[in-house]
Amino acid sequence: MEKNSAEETIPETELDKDTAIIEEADPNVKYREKMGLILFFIYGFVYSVFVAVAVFNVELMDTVVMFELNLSIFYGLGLIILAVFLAALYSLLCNLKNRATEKANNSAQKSGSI
Amino acid sequence: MLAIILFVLFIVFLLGLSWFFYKQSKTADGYFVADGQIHWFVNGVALTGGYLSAASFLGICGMIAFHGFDGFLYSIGFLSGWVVALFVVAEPFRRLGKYTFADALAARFHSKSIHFAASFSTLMICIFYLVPQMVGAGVLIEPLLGIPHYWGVIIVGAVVIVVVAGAGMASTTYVQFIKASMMISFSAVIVGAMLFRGIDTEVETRDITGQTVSPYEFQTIETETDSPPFQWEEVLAKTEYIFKDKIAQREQKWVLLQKKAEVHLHNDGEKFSLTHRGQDISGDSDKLEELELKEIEEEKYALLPSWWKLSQDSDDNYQLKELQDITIERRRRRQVNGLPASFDNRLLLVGGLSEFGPRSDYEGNNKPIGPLRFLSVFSDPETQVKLPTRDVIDYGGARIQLFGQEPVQGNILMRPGGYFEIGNGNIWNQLNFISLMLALFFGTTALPHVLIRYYTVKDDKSARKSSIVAISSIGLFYILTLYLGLGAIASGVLNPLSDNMSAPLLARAFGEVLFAIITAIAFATVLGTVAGLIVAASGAVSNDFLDKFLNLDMSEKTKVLAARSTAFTVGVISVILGILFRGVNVGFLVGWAFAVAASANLPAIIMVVFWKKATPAGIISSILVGVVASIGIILMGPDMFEIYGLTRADAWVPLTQPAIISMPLSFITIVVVSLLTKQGKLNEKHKL
Repeated sequence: MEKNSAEETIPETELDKDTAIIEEADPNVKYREKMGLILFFIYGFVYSVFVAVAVFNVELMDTVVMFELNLSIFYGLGLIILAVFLAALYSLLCNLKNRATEKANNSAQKSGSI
Repeated sequence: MLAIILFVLFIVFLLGLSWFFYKQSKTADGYFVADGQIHWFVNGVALTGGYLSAASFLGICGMIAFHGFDGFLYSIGFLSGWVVALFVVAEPFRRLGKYTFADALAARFHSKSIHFAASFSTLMICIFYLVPQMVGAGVLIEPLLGIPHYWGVIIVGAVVIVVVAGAGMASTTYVQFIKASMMISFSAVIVGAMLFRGIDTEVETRDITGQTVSPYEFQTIETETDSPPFQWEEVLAKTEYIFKDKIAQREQKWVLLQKKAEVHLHNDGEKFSLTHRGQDISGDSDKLEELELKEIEEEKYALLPSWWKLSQDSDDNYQLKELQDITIERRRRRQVNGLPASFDNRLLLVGGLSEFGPRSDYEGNNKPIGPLRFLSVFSDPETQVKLPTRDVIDYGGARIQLFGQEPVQGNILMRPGGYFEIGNGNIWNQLNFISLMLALFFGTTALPHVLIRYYTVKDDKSARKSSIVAISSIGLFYILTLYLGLGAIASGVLNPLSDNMSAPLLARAFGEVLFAIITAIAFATVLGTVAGLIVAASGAVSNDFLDKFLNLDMSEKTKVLAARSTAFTVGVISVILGILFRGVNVGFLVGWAFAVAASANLPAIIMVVFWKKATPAGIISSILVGVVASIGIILMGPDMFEIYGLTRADAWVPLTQPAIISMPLSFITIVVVSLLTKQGKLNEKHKL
C-alpha cells in the first residue's frame, strides 16, 4: 500500500498495461464482471417491479398469495431471500469458472510437457 | 442496575480489545485495512456489524412498530443495496483500489483534484451518517440509564475516539464482529420468546420500574349526537371529568377536560403521592405548586387537565378519545399528562391488537404462534391494531404535544404507504417513495465505510465470500426486524414519544436480563458503526486530502498520526451535532446519508468502472454536483422546513427525498463535462 509519489507522471497507456497484466493473471475477471451484471439486472428488474406495484397499484399488495401471506410480505421477504440466493449463485459460478480455468491450464501444461 | 453493569463491562471489554490489537496499527496498512489479513468470515460478519447501525436496530424496528410495512421497506432497500455492491462494484474496485473510494477513482486518472472531491464527499456522507448514530446513542442511553441525552452522546463519542484513534481498523473489525454476532443472536432470542409466548388482545407488560402491569385502557366517551353544540354536562355526567374548553387546530378538534385526583401527603407534608392513569406518582411537595389544588372535606385534590380528541365514529356520532400530553409552558416547565415530568411520571406505553382476523384461525389467548401465521394474523384485513398518533397544538401560551392511538386494519398496516402515503395518489409522495427506494438501492455501494472493508481481506475470492456472509446475516437480521417491530405492537410497548425505543422495550417485556443485554448490544451497535465511519472519515482526510491532494510528504508514522487526529476531530464534531440534532428521527437522517452517497459517489464509481470516456473533470464535477444537489434539496425540502419551525407547505422544494433528482443530475454532469473536456483530458495526458 505504498504511496505512489510519481503518480502525476504516469501516462494512461501504462495504466492500461497494468489492467492488462491483471486480466492476464486472472483470465476470469471479464467472466465475473459479466455474470455480476447479469445477476444485477435480474435483481434490479424484480426490485423495480416491486416498487412499481407499490406506487401504481398498492391494493394489489393485499392479495393473498401463499402461506396465507399478503403479496407485500411475500414479495418483501422474497427480495431478501433472492438477494442471498443470487449472491450464493454468483459465488458458485465464479468458483466453477475458476476450477474450469485451472483444469484447462493444467491440461495445457501437461500437453506442453509431453 | 443490571443494564449499567453490563454497559460498563462492555466498555471495559472493548477498550481491552482495542489495546490488545494496538500492535497491529503501527503502520498505515495496519491502521486502515488490518494488513489485509482479516479472515473472510470474520470480515463478512464485521461488514454486517458495521452496516447494521442504529438505523437498523432502533430505527427500522421502530418504524415498523409505528408505520408497519414502510419500515420494512428500509430493510428491503438496505439489503438490496448489497446486490449492487457485490455484483457491480466489488470486483472492479478491489482490483483498482487501495484504502478508499478516492484511491480507486484516482487509480484510473491520477488526478489530485479527484482526491479532493472524493475526500469531501466521503466526509459529508460520514457526517450525515454519524449524526443519527449519535442521536440514537443519546435516545438509547437517556431512558435506559437515566442520564441526560447529551451524556449518552458524549459517552459514545469518547469511547469511539479512544477505540478508533487508539487502534484503527484492527480493533473495529473485532468490535463489529462481536456486535453483529450478539445482535443477531439476541434478536432471534427475543423473536423466539415472543412467538412462543404468543399474542393476544390483552397483554401484560412492564412499567418503568420493571413491574409487570396491564396496559392502561384509554377511554372513549360517546356524545351520542351527530350535531354540535354539545351539552357537555350531560355528556360527561357519568364520568369523573368536567368540561374546560374546546379548540380547533391542525384540522382537528380538541377538548380540554379536568378531573380531580386525591393527593396524599407523607413525611410531614414534604412528599406527596397520587394515582393517575394507573401510575403511582410521587415527588416533593413543592412540585404541587405547579398544580391547581382544591380542598374538599379536608381532603386535598389536584385538578388535572386532560386532553381529548373530538372525532366522528362510523355512524357519524361524535366521540371523545382520551389522549396523553406533554405540555411545555412559557417558563419551560414540562408537564406530562397534567403532572410535572419526573422519573415515575412518563407517557404510558401504547399499541396492541384489538381484534384478530379469522384468516389464520388464531384466536389469541397467548398461545404459541408460528412465524408465518404471525405475519398472516397481522396482514388480515379484519385484524385491528392500535398505532400511536402525535399532534402538536398551541394553547394558553404553551406548546402541547398530544399522543393518541388510532385503529388500523391489518392489510393496510402490512402494505406499503403507511408512512409515505403513496396510496392517496399524491404525485410528490409517490416520487418521494421512488426516490427513497432508489437511494437505498444505490446508496449502500457508495457508503465509504462499506467500501473500505473490501480491502481488509487478502484476495477477490475472500472479498466475495465476505460479501455473501454479510448478505446472508444482514438478510436474516432484517427478517427479524419485521418480527421485532410487529412484536412491539403486539406487546403494547410503544413509547409514543420515540419510535426508536421499540426493540429494547420489547425486550423488557421478557425481563430485565434480556432488556439489559439488548441495551448493551444497542450501545455496541452505535459504537461499531460510529467506529467504522470515523475510520473512513480519517482515511479520507489523511490519505486523500493531506497526502494525495496537498501532496504533503508524510511518513507512515505521520500518516497514522494524521488519521488519529482526524478521528478525534470528526468524533468531537459528531458529538456536538448529535447533541444539537436531538429529537430528529434516526431513520430519517440515515435515509439522507444514503441519498447523498447515491448522488455523490455512485455515478462516479459506475462511470469510472464502465465508461472509458469519463474524464477527471467529469468525475469531479459529478461528485460536487451530487453533494450540492442532494444536500440542497434536503435543506429546501418540507422535512427541514418543519425542523426550522416553518410549515411544510412553505418548503421551496416539495420533495423530501432528493435521489430521484440529484442522482440523474450527477450522471448527466459526468457525461456532459467529460464530453466537453475531452480536449482537457488530452491536455492532461500531455501534461502527464
